[in-house]
Amino acid sequence: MRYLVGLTAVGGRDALALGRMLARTGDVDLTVCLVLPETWGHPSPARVDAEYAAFLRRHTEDAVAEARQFLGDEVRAEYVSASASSATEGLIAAAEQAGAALIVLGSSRHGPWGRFALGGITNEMLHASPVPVALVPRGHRPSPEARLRRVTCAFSGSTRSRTAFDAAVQLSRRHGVPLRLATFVVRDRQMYPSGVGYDAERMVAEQWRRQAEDAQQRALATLPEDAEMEAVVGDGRDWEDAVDSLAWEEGEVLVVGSSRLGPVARVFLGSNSTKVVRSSPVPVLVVPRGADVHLDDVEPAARGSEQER
Amino acid sequence: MAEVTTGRGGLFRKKPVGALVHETGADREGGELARSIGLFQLTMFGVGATVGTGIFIVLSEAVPEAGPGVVVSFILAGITAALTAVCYAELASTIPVSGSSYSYTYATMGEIVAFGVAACLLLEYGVSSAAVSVGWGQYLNEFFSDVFGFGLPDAINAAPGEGGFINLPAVVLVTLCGLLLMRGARESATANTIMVLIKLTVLAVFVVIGFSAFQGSNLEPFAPFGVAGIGIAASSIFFSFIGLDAVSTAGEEVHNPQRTLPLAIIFATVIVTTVYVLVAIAGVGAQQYGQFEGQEAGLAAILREITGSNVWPAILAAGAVISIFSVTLVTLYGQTRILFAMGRDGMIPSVFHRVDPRTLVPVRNTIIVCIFVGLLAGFVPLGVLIDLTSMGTLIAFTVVSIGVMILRRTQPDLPRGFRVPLYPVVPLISALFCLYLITGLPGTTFLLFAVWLGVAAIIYFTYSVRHSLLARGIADASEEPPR
Repeated sequence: MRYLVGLTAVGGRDALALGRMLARTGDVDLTVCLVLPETWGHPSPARVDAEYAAFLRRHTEDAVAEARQFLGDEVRAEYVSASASSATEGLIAAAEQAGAALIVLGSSRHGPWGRFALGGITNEMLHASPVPVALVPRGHRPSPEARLRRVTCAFSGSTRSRTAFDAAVQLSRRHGVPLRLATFVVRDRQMYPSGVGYDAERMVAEQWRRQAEDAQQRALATLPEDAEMEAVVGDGRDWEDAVDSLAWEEGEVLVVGSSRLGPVARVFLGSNSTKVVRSSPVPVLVVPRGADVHLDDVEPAARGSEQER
Repeated sequence: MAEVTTGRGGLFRKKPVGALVHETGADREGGELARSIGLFQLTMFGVGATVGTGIFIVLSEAVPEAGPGVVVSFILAGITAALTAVCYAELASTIPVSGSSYSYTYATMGEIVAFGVAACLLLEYGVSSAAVSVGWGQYLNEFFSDVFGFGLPDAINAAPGEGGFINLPAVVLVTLCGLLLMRGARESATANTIMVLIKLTVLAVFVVIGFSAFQGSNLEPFAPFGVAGIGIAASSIFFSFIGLDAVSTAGEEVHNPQRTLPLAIIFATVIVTTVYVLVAIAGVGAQQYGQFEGQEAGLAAILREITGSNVWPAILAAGAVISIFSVTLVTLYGQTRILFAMGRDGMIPSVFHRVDPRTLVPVRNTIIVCIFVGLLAGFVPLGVLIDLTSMGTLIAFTVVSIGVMILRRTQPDLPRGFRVPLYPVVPLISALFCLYLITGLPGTTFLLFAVWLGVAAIIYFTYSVRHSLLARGIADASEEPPR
């Protein structure tokens, strides 16, 4: 099994740190991919393009050396660089070439510390990536020895969250960690004035909580009984607060589904997965609808050797 | 066990108050912070929910019935609205749950009465949102003709009974509001205050211009149809006072309800009644009462008569279009949540209380409500909608007033955040005033109402009586407060 860590100019260490943690916990090899701007293929008379190419080469060597040092010797990693007219294309091509099952990306540098902010590349990746994409909050820096401890799945019972659920189950199996289902009750709506009482939304929220708890139990019932699993409900005034109301562990990954809404629907409906991504204190694995999810084709022997380590 | 006591009682089985509270999660620890609504905002809620289509269209209906004496009708309707709002406030503060008078009745007078009240509330919210959107359409059309010089053709701008085929603007408004609600609409207290200011400003414009054309001779004769005419007009006018209950239901959220609630109800009523009375005086002072009949977008039409210009009517129409939009949204919203509460109780199919996982809104419920309201708005004449709304609301308020007295007797020890002053005079007078206004409604309204109650009865006896959670002994009561 191979995961791809995408590095652009900045934010690389956050992504590398998650890659390192995942690699240490499962039988996972990493491909670290440095995305470079494409150079013009034909030599120019003034050789400026050659100078630029040389600069890029030096930059690549430095970055690879840095990444290698950061990951340490224990992590099996290969280093590639991708030049493409767009970073998104480059990353996807590299992931396909390496046969990576998921792609790890860092936050835009404009985000708040400790949270993930979507940037141009990550936004495009969410819409184009053929495999799940893990988004790492700024400053996410578990210790070199840190291991994955738990996989949480943002679950609503809809068909879309079914995809996320499957991915989360696979991820937790692959890395041998407990699974947690989390549903969010968000109480951010209120109508002023209201002729039906100002707690009408509380009634809707409670109904939603019950519906969600039923859906959680039904989903968990499909798993083998010996699997380590639990279900929780995060409840808050807004998404940030609801996500915050749950306890998060250091080595935790949150899995959410994303529906690849069209541009109109995105404006009109907004996207809950985007809100979860923005609020999450832990890395978020976004599973786009229709993405290839094959995270658990793991041989028993490999899992055994993992436990010996 | 809870079901032993609640399951009994047949059609008059009552829902334990504890169960009602439990269902909203109000007794859950944590959750959200308690909101605290102040006197000013609460008064604004009352004014915001009340001043809607009513005052903008009601003169053309009411003045031909009462003549200049319509001013007295306004005061009569205002007093009735205030009295019912006070009674409503006591029930709301005793049974701090949402779902409007439906929930209160379920707890005090039993299931079948609650179902009847719910049928009335469908008129107060569902039919009234249709009425409000039809009035909105009139002012939109007025705005177009003032600004662009042409309006929509009658075929797509009026209901079949009024010389058209469909009232398209009203349908469009209902659809827009429905889309907003499905997305998870919210309206802030600030937005409401802004809407209130817009409404009051355009009404003030009307009053000032109206008074400039005031002629004492227009007030003669003051009551051409006598006291009866004034009473009949008050029944039509009551429609424009619906919404004061937005204050009453605030109970738990209000800081010091025993003082704030009655004050807010009084302030809101006084503001609304004063504005209405001024508008009425300005209107009847500016033109002979015979001229009101059949005026569309009435206030704007009067302004054009007076000023001879399109500017003032356009300003008034624009203000009406903006501010009535929010009233439609709020009323539609209320309807969906009442049906939600009923679905939760098993009174109607569970489709009404399914929450959509993506938007966290009861989407199907909203769609059904919007189709229903859209059909009414598109195909039923405004006068019929208004009278049906008044009918439903007045009956519901009568039941609420009686409910206050019943609950005082059956459960005197229940904590009440707010108590009606001068008990039992106020609830008694309130019920009598409501009944008096009901007698002023036209015969066809009684007929339609009877048909509607018949439909409700069929639904109740074929579905609800067996599916109600209480009937099935699944009342989710964690405790059992009724003694």
